[in-house]
Amino acid sequence: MHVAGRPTNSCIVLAADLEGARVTTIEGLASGGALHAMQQAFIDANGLQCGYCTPGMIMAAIPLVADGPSDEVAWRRGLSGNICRCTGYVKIIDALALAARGIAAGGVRDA
Amino acid sequence: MYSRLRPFDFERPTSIDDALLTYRQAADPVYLAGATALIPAWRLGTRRQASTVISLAGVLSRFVGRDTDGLHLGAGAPVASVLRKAGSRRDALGDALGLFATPQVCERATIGGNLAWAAPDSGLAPSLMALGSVITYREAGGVERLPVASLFETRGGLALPAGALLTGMIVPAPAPRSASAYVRLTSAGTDGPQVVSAAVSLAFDASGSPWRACVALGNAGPAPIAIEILAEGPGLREFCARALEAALAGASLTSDLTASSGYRRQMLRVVVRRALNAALRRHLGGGHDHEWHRPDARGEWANRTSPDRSERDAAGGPAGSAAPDGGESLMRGRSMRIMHRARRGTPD
Repeated sequence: MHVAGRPTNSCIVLAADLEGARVTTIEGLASGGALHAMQQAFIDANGLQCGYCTPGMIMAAIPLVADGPSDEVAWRRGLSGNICRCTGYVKIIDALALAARGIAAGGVRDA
Repeated sequence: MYSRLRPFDFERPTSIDDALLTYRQAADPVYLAGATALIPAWRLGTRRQASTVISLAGVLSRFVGRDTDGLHLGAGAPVASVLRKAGSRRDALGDALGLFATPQVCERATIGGNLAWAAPDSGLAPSLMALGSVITYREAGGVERLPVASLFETRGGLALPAGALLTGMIVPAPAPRSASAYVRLTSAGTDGPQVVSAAVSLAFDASGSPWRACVALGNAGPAPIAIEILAEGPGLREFCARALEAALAGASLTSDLTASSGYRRQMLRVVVRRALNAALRRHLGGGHDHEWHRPDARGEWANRTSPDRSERDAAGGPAGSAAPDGGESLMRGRSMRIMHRARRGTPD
């Protein structure tokens, strides 16, 4: 999830400690029936299989791409802590690259 | 494995005074900062759950700033904020910040919380100790200061009065002719459990010879420890070797699921040596021989002679053990039992 726009592990936060904070979960990304750019990129790049890790991956990926131009090394470091046992991470990185290209071209909704 | 938390009272004070008062009045209280260690430990059952949780979310300063004195950190500053503003430092703190944890944990973990948790494998304590950092804390009597090197009891836990609240810290500006580095060894990947870690700071005199080292160790005892070594013998190689032996002598290694004590001892030797080499590399720059421990080293430093005390004084170096960058205060602290000088290769 995001707390004030920053990715945070929900499992180590007490809900009571977030009173008044701006919290966004994966359920809050889509708007008006349209998926968020990063959600769409994960679909288009086949960046998921079983889907168990996907909410965490997407929530971690959004600020990585939104924070500006980056590279694969920085993306991999930024995603660390999110474990995927299906994809081997290659397609996930492809999804970030796809989202970054889309955002840069203005063709998809920004984070 | 994980278990559900028992019901507890949750308090959210709005000021430090309010937090101190709440702690005094509550039954079985605990402060909650980033909670990245506390909540998992409770759920795993590795620490006893308290009855009253006092959230410090709206209390502690999240300030991160720098002036001529050094880097000032509010105790509530998330590690990620410090990483963004100070992660490019080429010293032990920069190293430690870069290795601290995954980005999501860094967003939540706080500087003060990491130290107050007093874990022997703290990701920040060794670097802060080696750099001579000083914390401020509040208790009923007012504001107090304490070197991080004196913050931990040798048997584990904090050397602070019950209910005292760590509020901030200053990492001193680097002294001229000094360098530091931090090296950590983990099992099972970068973010796996720590085996051992070491932070080293080295101070050189005007003639370029080392006169002081501080070696701080993580997971080498019930709490992080720091050991000061002053140069008295000749040569960089001997000085580094004495620093290494002093570190090994100061460690109190145990076995756990991550590593045996014997393996830890071997790896402690490795990480201290690497930290010494990294600090030397930072001080000397590229193209020099920093492998002081190799018998065949032929670098200009391998046979260099450290000046004696009078030479150091004449060169503008320190007099005796009165280290200008806070070393003296370290020696006076409560960790004096573990902070000792190594003389002639025999730590006392």
